[in-house]
Amino acid sequence: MTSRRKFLQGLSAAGVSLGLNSLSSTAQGKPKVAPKRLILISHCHGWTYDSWKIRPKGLSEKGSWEVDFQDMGVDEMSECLAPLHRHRNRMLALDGLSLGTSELDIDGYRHQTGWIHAWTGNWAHFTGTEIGAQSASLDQIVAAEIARTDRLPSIEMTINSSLEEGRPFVFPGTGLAMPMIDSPAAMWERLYGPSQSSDPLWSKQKDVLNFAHHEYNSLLPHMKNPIDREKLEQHYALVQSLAQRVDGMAGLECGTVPSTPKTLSEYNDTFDGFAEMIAGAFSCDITRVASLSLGEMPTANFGWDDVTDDTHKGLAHEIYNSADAHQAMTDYYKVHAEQVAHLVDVLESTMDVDGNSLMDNTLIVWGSEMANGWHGYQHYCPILIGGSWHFKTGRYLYWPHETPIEVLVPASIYAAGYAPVSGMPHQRMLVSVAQAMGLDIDQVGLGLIQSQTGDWVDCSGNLPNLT
Amino acid sequence: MHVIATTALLLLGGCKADPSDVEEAAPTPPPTSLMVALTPTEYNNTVRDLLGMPTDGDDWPTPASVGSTEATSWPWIFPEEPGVEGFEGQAEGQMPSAYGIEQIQRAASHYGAYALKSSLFFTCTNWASLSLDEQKSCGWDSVERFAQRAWRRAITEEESTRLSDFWEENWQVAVAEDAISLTIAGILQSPNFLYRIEHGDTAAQIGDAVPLTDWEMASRLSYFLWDSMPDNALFAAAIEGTLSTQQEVQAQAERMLEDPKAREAVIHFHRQWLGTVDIHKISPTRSAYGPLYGLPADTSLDTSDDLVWPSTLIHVRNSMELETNLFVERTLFDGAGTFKALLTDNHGYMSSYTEPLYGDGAKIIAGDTVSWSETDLFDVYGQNFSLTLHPTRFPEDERAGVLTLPSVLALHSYTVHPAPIVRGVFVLEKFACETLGAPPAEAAGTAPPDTLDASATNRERTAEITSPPECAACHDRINPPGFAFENYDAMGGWRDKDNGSTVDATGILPLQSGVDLTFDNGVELAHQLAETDQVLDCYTLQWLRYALGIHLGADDDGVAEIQESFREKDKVLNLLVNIVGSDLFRYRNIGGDE
Repeated sequence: MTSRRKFLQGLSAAGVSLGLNSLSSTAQGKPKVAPKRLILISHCHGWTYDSWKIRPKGLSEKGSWEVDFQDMGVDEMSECLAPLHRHRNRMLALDGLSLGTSELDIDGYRHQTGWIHAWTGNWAHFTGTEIGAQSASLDQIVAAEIARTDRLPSIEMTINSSLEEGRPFVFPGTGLAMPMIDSPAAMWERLYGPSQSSDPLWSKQKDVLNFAHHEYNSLLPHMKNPIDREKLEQHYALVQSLAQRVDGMAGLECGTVPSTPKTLSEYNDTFDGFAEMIAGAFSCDITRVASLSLGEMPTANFGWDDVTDDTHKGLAHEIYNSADAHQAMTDYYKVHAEQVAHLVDVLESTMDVDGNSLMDNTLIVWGSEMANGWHGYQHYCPILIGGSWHFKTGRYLYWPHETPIEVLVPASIYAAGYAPVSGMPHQRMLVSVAQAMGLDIDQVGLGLIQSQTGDWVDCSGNLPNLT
Repeated sequence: MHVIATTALLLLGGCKADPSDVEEAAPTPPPTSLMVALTPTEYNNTVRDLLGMPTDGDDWPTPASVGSTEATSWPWIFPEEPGVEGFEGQAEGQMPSAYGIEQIQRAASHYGAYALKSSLFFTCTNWASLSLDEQKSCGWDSVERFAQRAWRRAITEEESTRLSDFWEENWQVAVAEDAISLTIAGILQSPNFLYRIEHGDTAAQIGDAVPLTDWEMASRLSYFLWDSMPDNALFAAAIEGTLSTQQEVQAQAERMLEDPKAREAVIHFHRQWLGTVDIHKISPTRSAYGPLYGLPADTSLDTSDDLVWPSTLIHVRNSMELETNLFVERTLFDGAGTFKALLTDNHGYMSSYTEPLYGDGAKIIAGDTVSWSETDLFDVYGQNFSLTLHPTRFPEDERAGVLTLPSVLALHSYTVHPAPIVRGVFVLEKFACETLGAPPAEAAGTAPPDTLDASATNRERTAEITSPPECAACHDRINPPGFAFENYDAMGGWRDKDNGSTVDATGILPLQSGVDLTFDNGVELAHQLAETDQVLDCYTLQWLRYALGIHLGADDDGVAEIQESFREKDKVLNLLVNIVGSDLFRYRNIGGDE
């Protein structure tokens, strides 16, 4: 198994220089108010629930309960969660959700359907050649509220996008996914290219928009109908805003700009590169929302390459048939947990404009497109890290499965192949995150829906007891 | 007016028709006139025609070879318009968004690079081999001509000056090729390109009515009948001032309807009217319909056949979509050409993927099969597959026109059972133009269970939940046209029995015009709808709304005249010619202007 963590290297590569940037901006006066940031992380193949869950003695699965992480030793945490032990006080581990609505979306490849439901909370929309969404994903909903007009509303990254599991999951609204950048070097270009490039076409983009802007300006006085004028004014303002963003990005001053990352091919290196790009982007307030799709890891990355080179069919599909496959996917998840822990390290090591760390002003939502590699939607186990300005963090929360949506499970769990009830709709977690980011909404994606049994299920509202 | 001499477009001068030639003394403009943006379809078609590129995006040059870093050539994927009453291109349903504006900017940069590869762009030959001064001179001429074609009119002196300044700036800081790309990108982000801006010929104003200028009329015609920019003949007519009279406009429309682009545009209207633009959203359940395709009702517990049903459905959906498009095209352009045929014809197309839905009564008949090449279609695995549609005659007591197409029926169904309430609302709103309003908030939670083990028939279950007196006011109207189609399951397949009982599809539909339609089944209802004035009037009204991009009411001035004409002569293409010749189409109302 690949050993981790190049922790100190990460700090020196990203944290220190970024921290100095931020320090310089706060040294001259009282600390500024730092913006809140959101990171969505979506890995593939879900979780191995039995090695993820925590079951303290004396607590029944029939009722809701919670345990505090504060005094929990690393040995008391589950195998999957142990790599995050050092960040346990920032965490909320959510045990009791499901992607049950995805089960009701009869159409589609279960990976694809799951991606749409996981992050939009809504039905998928198949165009015949592509899978699309029917509404915006959580990150875009939040970005629309908190983004700076002169900077990037959001950034999107993916690792191993060549595999189908590295699929983009960010949707601006109805339609196809937004493309995701697949290398830290390309992300560097997105973040710093306009301000660092010597290519005259970069700077000319602003002039092109200004030309369009002037055309709107020239036309407006001739538009007599107030409805037409209002629409043109809105378009005009958005062009102006885009020009402002192009200009803002071209004139970006971040103090120490990270050097251009090398072309990376190894999974962990790419993750680390993206972690640095996220920290850099947040530190300089280039964006406040980031999404990262963790495509499938090669078996060598989690130490099972001597067994198979096929993570998907060789291991993920087999977790209920083979103890080895279950252990392999546990190891798979643990590597991701180490990666996420490293991202938290980097954000913790970087000082924000308010004198705290970036992590103090960041909420990470880590989920997946399915609950497990067997293509199941039961036992969906997202983790929230950060967001302590809104959430009461440092806890593991359990809710019993009581939602009347039938979900596919192995016959070893229910002989009929379907569990009669599922966990709480995960949409409620999306609502909680949106509220943590300051949005006054009570629904993300689906609201009231009908299950296979004819029962009505309400997917709106937030999760109980998170704050 | 500043006019640029060109040979390709005949933009040689403007000679307006004598206002005395305008024969109408008291025109009837639409109740309001609003600026309409190019729809995603219109944008892509316009860019294609501006650049003279092929209709198939696979045949375009690769982006890398033209200086764009985008992954694909054409079409550009824009966010979908929310639409109004199912139609895109409606002024009220078009509000710019930040993401949409960014896409417009990226698309403009992308297609700006394509100008250098366009056979229609340069006004000179061998531009690359010219001296720098010659390149600059020809480049400006080409840019200015491009702007006129993109903005679909002669540009003003002021516009030419601004454009020239922009061109000079780009020429100074960029290499010649980049200067062209940047300037074209600017032209494609101008409101003059992105919107159909109409001021009208204010010198000819009568009351609140202002006739469109010839340039504006050329664009109205082309976007209505072609979903794209005017061709050279329309531009030439605009220059010559021969788009001012009703006869001239109608003559152009008749010419345009002969062009293959008109077929695509007429299909496009029907896809939106019938809702089949959303056909890929249907999700009939495998547990109910898998056996029709030889699949066990239950999915395998080891998930190994996860893809089987979705992959089957993709084929079915594509077939439904193409069958619908072909039925509309062949009926209106190659067949009777009537609305009556659109609602009653029992001939159509069928593939091996929809054959199980039509049953044994469907007979393949002589005629050309229609095949789509493998590159056009993909299954859920991303693999190409082919589709062959056979001309077919369906039993006349089972199928009658668009209302009994599987696509239309499946779109108005739940996943297991047909949805009589949804189907009833669809018939009333789309075919009778009756307004029902939003259902009460609690209605969603009281729909009958969409489960396989439901008791009684679908009709009985629906009647039961809509039986309370407070429901009757709406459901006495909604349920009958919905129940009429109970012979069709959630995939549009024919059925005689529902839950073991003979299907009862009888009913009486009380229309607001006072006419009661009594029928035994959906086929009978379709035949009666085809003969009902209120329905013919509704179809006319839908076309008018689509043509004008505004919500038009049945009582608005000028509507009845066109409706009456269509009642007297049921020819759909004639209806379109009548629409373009109407005051509603040829005038704008400036009464709402400040």
